[in-house]
Amino acid sequence: MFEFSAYVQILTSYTILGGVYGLTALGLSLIWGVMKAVNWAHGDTLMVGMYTAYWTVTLLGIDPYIAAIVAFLLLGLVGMGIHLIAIEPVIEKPGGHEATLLTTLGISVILESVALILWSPNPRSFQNVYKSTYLQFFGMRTSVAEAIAFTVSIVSIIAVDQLLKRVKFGKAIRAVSQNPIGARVVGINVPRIRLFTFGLGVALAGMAGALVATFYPNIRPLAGYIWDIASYVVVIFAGLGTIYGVIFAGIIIGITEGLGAIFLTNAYRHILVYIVFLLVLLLRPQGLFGKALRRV
Amino acid sequence: MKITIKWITMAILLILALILPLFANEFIISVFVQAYFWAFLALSWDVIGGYGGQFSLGHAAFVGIGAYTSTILLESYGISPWMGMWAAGILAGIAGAFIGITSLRLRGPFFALATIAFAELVRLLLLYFKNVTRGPLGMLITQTGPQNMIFEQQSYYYYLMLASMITGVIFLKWFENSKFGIGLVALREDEEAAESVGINVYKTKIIGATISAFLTGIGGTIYAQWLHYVRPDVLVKLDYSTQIAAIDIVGGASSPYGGVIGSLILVPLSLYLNSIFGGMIAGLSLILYGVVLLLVVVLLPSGIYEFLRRRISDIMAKKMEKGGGKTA
Repeated sequence: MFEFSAYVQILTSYTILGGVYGLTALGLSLIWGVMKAVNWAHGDTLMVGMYTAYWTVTLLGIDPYIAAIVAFLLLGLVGMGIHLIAIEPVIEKPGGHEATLLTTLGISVILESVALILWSPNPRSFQNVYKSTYLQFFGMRTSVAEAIAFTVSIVSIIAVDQLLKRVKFGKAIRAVSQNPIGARVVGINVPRIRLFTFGLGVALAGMAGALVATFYPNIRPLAGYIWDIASYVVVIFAGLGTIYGVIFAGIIIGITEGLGAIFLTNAYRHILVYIVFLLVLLLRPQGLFGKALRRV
Repeated sequence: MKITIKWITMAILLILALILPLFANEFIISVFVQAYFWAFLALSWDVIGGYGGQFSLGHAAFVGIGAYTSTILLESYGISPWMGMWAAGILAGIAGAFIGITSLRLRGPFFALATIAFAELVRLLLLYFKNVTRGPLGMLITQTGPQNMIFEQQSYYYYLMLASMITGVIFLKWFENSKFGIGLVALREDEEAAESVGINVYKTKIIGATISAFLTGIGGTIYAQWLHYVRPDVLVKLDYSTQIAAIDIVGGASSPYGGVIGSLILVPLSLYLNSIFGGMIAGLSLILYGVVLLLVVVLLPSGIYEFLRRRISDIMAKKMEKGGGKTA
């Protein structure tokens, strides 16, 4: 009986973590959806978001959730900078989408090394009241920090979906994603939409990083890596052109990871995630919630 | 005339490469050993990544599979790596076919992401099956002697790596004009057109991935013999996968020389920077790696080799024009 409740507890934790994966994948999914560009530096911008939270909280002593807003704004600017250096110069050239893979890879390497130089490879974490307070429900418990991250994840996904559907700027983003030439014909400034979309995608990654930092004990220059892979897996798993898909895919990946932790021990829990992931690729290459791939 | 100049240049370069160990010290030789090794991997990657246009970021997995196969055969069964490297290539090739079957229906970046996940899986499995691979500690190669591909001097490894690299170049030269190679390029450019002239797109891609992984696996064996040990975290890491791809792209993808040029520039550069700054500021050499990659992709999208080739043929054409003007 004890074992059973322990398993339920593990699965609950991983479900919540999966929800957070949805948030870390959201920015990536948005950027991919609009400009068919992969932001290879996604995990590293997430890592910069973690450090932003770390430094604003430890140096200024402000609330970590205000730090998350700071991270959102700061990384928005960083994102636009990355876009101007690495995306815009190549995106319209032939083979441009492959080129963005490489240019953002360059950015990724640069961000990681700068972080290594500035902040050393040692893992950091900061104390906060949210991490050490727990919520109890049906005998399971979770820290307030994780519960808030989960909630923000769902709220952000709904917000981005509504932005794309209702707001003029969001409609312009969708127009660019569906037909860049047509969008230009009706007077949309396509490069500017791309700039803001990329900025928004990276800002979301930064915010995700700051939220993760409230409960994650391993803030270090290479921390982006594990979140990176989780985000990519979630985006592919969810499929193309779906915003809501990322939250469900995130939760499924989270639960799979939890089952991995139960059956394969904690250190090897990702084995199950990758096996399930490769199986899904084999059976449903368009992802769980994606539209069927059109043959080009 | 142009062709003779090309052959003379190649012959001079080859002679220089052959006599280099006679006057270089061990450190310089080991730098070249690594440059040739990465060049060989970049050339292997080029088969599917360049000619096939399928951007793999999981090639470190094949290095790992190759290195582990031959090392397990050597240490547990006493089979020499000279034999084991073929088993290594075949096993890596099977893994390449597997990744081809699961993910080659995906396009572009999605394929790249799937290959990353695959490489992660391989790394975790190498850690997980402790009784075969000895887990995170890895395996030391305790056997010695040339019959086990273990040499006392760097210069032997130098010639081994040089031979591998040249074999890779010759293979790609042949490959790019073979019926199969042309088919692979055709489907990279336009899958439907390729299909309509009778190329089986899916099968061609899978065979391409298999060849690429086979060669990379053999590279893994040779690398393990040079390192004298294998360890999951050393061999199968995303940094290696991206490095393989980056070297080929910077040098020039879809070319038998691109990987060689990319490697001869980037590998010594990063080793040199590491040796200067590595102790003081970890990461500084990596920044330059990132900057070079960014600059080359933005400014010279078809790579350094293609850029040099065009410059040289421009200069030649101008000279010819001038010469023509004088006689007239």
